[in-house]
Order: sequence, then structure tokens, then C-alpha cells
Amino acid sequence: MLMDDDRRRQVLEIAVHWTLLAGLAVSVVLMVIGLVLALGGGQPRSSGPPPPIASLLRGAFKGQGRDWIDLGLIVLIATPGLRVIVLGFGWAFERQWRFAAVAATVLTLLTASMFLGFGG
Amino acid sequence: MDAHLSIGGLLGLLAAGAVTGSLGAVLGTGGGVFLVPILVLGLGLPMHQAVATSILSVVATSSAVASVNVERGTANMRLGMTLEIATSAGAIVGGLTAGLLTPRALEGLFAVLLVPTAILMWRGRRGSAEAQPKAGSDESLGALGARFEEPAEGRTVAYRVRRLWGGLGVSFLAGNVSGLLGIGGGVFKVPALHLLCGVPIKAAAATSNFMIGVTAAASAFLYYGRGSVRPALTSAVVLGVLLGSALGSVLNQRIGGAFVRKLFAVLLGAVALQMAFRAVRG
Repeated sequence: MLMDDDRRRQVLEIAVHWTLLAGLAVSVVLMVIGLVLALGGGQPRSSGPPPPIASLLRGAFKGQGRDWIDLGLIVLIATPGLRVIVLGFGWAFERQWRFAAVAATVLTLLTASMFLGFGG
Repeated sequence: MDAHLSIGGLLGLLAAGAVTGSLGAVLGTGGGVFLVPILVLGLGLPMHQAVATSILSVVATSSAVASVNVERGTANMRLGMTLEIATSAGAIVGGLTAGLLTPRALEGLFAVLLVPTAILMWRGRRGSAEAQPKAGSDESLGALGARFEEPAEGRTVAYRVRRLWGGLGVSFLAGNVSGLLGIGGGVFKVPALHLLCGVPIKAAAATSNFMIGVTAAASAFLYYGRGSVRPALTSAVVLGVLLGSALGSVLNQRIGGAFVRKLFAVLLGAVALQMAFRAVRG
């Protein structure tokens, strides 16, 4: 029983480890591409509310460095949230409902923050 | 800065980020306490934008370090996630409050925060009696207790978590400060986890770092959404901080702790005075 618990915990730890690393890696790549493109001629966006994600994706497709940068920042901010989702599903799969509910609560708070930031 | 991104400007921002990242790694503190003053006093960035830049840097460094601690098994994910309910709520309140405060008010609050940080850095992390390490069955550890391997001592350290409500209270305050001032909040969380909740110091630091990413992300959405983030500047600083943290982790093994720590405690004290002066004089 103890070894099974340890094994399940280790599986979750590995999943979280790779989620954090992958999110960070993707955001770094996007930001580096964006900075290189911006140096090459695209004008970076000054501070101000960000454009909608659909607009960012269109701009990135057209090679706008500023949009690659914004996408990188969005992935960076979302990475801890992705970690919460992975843990929530992991605990739910293990039928650790109490901690799955805790993860859902944290995710709700992060979502509220997102709506407060972009909707306000 | 953003309107005229140059190679020189980019390298300068990378360097600023790298310095703070390596300082944070060497001194065992978050880079935010160094990054915000550098951005405000050194680069003339408005306080709200400096806080926003710092909070995104905190997300990056926390994610990097937490991925390592989680893999090593020292971060208590169940305890961390439970406390994240409080830190996230606190961070949202802090982020919302920051939007209502003037830059001078934020600078004054930051100066106040730097004083205990400088004192703690001067004193260093004192060894204290480790919380009841015993290898027991999982039932004896409770729902939030955990075990981790201590290779240096060749043993397994097991602990129960005590005073969860106290930990939740301090976590809320730490999240509040994090969202308000752009720091990770570990300076509050680690002592709370260790002294209040009975978590061994190594697991307390790892769990605190695990929590910091979500805490920072909670307020980062607010800052980014309301336009306080300067994207090119922030991304350059974030990349620099990540590089610096990696370098600092290597340097950490080679640099003697006490003298450097006291030196930077004095530096932080001087920075606190300067920011307080700015807050008062405008």
C-alpha cells in the first residue's frame, strides 16, 4: 500500500515537473523569437491592455515580433495554472477527491483573476 | 524603451535581469527585492510597471526551481496546493489594491518591506530544531504530512503538518504582499511553514517555492490585463533573470555565504532608504 502510494506520488511529481518545464520552455522560445523579430524591424507594443489572443495569433503568423512576445508572456503566466490542472486531474484519477477539490478551487481563483484582469 | 528596442537596450535589460536572478539564487531570496529597485531607481521605470515586470519574473523563476524540487520530492504538493487557496486569494486582493494606490504609496510600502528583509538577510537562516523527523506509516503523518529523502544524512525525513489555519492566514498575507509589491513572498511563507506548521526547513523552502508560481500568476493576470506590463522590456528581463538564476545556482556552491549576505543586507538597507526618500519627496 505504501509503495503504491509512493509510486502514484512519483508519477504525479514527474507529470508536474514536465508540465512546468514544458510551459517555461515554450514561453522562452516564443519570447526569444519575438525579441529577435522586434529587433529586426517590428515595433514592440508599448504598455497598455493587450490585444485579444486571436489578434495576437494572426500577428504572430504574419511575423510580428510584438505578438510573439505577448504570446510568450501569456504562456508563462498560464504555466502555473497548467500545473494546477495536471495535479487536479491526477488527484481525481487517484480518487483523492479532497485534493482534487482543492485544485479546482485554486483553478477557480486563477480563472477569476484572469477575468478580472482582462474583463476589467 | 519599448518603442525603440535596440540591441544595447536589450542587452542592458538582460544584464539587469541576470544580476538580480543570480543574486537571488546566491542569497537564497527571491529576485524581486532587488529587481524592483533596479527597475525603478536604475532604469526609471514607473513603480507599477516595475512590479508587473517583477511578478512575471517571479513566475518564471518559481516554475524553473519548482520543477526541480518537485522531481526531488522535497516540495509537499498537497500542502502547497491547500495553502495556494489562501495565497491566490491574497494575491488577487493585493493586485487589485495596487491598482488603487499611487506609485509613491507603493514605493513607500516596498521600502517598509525591505527593512525586515535586510534584517533577515543580515542574520541569515538560523538552524532550528527540525520538526519531529520520524519515519512512520503514512497514517501517522495525516493528510498533509509527507516524507522526503535527505541524501546528505542518509535518512528519510517524515513530518506532520500542524496549525494549518495559521499557515493559511500567513499565506493570505504573503499573497497579498506578493500581488502588491511584485515579490514572491517566500520571506513570509518559509518561516510560517517551518516555525508555525512544523515543516522541516528544506521542505518548507521547496514547498514555498512551489506555491510562489501560482501566487504570482494570480496577480500577473491582473497586471497584464490592465496593461501594466511592457512586453518587450518584461520578456528581456525575464530571460535575463532565468539565465542569472542558473548562473547563481552554480556560483552558490563556490561563494562564501556570510560576508556576501551581510554585504547585500547593507545594500538592501540603503535601497530601502532611497525608496523611502522617493516616496516621501516624490
